[in-house]
Amino acid sequence: MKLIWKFNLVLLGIFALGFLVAGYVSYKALQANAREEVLQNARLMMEAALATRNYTATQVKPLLDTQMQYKFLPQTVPAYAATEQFNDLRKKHPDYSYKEATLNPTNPRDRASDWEADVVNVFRTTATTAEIVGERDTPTGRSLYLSRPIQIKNAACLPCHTTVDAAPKTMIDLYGPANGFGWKMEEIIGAQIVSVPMAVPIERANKTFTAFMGSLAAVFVAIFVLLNVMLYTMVIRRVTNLAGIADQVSLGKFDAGEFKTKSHDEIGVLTEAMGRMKASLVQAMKMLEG
Amino acid sequence: MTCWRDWLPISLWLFAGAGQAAVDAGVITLADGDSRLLRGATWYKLAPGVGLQDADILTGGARSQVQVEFTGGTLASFAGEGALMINVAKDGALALTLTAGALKVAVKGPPVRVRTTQFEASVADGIVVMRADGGELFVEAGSAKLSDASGAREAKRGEYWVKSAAGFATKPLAPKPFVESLPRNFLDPLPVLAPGLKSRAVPAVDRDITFAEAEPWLARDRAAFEKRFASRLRDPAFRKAVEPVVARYPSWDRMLHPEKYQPKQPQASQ
Repeated sequence: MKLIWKFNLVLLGIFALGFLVAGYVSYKALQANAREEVLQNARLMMEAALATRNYTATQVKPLLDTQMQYKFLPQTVPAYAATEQFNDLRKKHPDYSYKEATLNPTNPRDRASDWEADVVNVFRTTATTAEIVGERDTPTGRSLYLSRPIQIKNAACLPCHTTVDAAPKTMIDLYGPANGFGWKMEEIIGAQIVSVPMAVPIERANKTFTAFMGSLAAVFVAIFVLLNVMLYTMVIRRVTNLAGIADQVSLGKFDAGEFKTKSHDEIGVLTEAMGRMKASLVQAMKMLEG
Repeated sequence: MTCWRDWLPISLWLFAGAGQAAVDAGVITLADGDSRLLRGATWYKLAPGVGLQDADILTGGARSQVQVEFTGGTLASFAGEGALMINVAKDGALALTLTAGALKVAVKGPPVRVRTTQFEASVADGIVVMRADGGELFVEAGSAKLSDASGAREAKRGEYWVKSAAGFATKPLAPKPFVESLPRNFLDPLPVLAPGLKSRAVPAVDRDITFAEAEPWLARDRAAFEKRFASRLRDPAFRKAVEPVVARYPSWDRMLHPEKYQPKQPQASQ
């Protein structure tokens, strides 16, 4: 096998290995960054929901206490306020969602679905769990969810959620007597769940990965071509030339060519040595014929 | 042709109630729409800062609203087409008579009596909302004692009461039609506005009451309002309107036709 093929085979092997390693490392890093970006978005949205809850409880509800005597205003409920705020956001960003998934809610729309109930039950069974992060497939793509437990820590929540008799009549009039009662202090009754689509950051990571790998491949190809050109011009062609002349000289054709070079590199030194060897051989042959 | 002496009784009536300086029982803090004040027999235009006195009558149109802050801290907001009469007893006890329209009263201090054509409510340190037309009352805070010819009953916070021909009925919740019929601001706490008034206002005179406007009040309490509106008999137009039905109002008949009440002179014998 010719030298250049051996060289190219080794070079290809090295490039392929490097390409694979670089691809694997960069892919993992980009995917991790994308997930972290999504998770940070989810955390920010969770904090926004908590801020809405707090604002509603401390500033809005007290202003509407009198109106509540006449008609129950769900706008005074922190969970409703946070959910409605997110529903407004969803008009432009339908892949994002916020839900206060509850096992026994007053408002039926807050009832936990199957997977949400599983999350709530994890919180109920392991009270030390502060947060659960997970991924799930949705019709619109991969989604990351961040969930935190909803635990009854404020006794002010209980008048509406212990017994029907204790609850405001206006609330019973709106929601009925069947749902959202029997809650207890310190009980985990549900979970706040923020769902954020992963598609965009993942797609961005994939695009970045593709661009990176593409540019890496282009660099590898360029290096490959340049190395081949350099190898051929600086080594292969000169050695082939040397080999041709040496071959002719070995057959007694001392006029096949001269071992000339201006270079002082290793091949230049070899060329000069072979020139001296040819001169010595010619003189030796003359002495033998002499 | 009548003699000036014939007008003497009327003149006495004219000046009987005049010249007494009345103490303000409260002050108007809000006056929207075509609301007016009837003081004596004269209509006045309402404006924030106008003081209210005993026997003042507030009236309103469909879109009117008037809020009063009484001395002692009681707030009353009257809205809609109807009338609200204010009576203050010598001991300071406040009584409101609502003929029609909606009323929200936030009572502070001594109990306040609110009368409608169907029942009377006594409220002490509570807040009630009522509609005279439907005989409806809702206790927003505290409690109220409702009474009519059949007796008295206690209305508690959150209860809705309605008086019909069959008597009182109660529900634990104000029904939607009742809530929707109330002015929007009745669903919020009544604001305290008196401290923000820069000065008291003098009510501007509009015009005197006509007989057509006086008739419903005369039908409600003939004796009191005959006395109150007697000064209007000076007005020829008022007299002309009264004449066909003067028999209903004995004191006015006596004023306008004293000759009917003169002792008959015995006929000279021949």
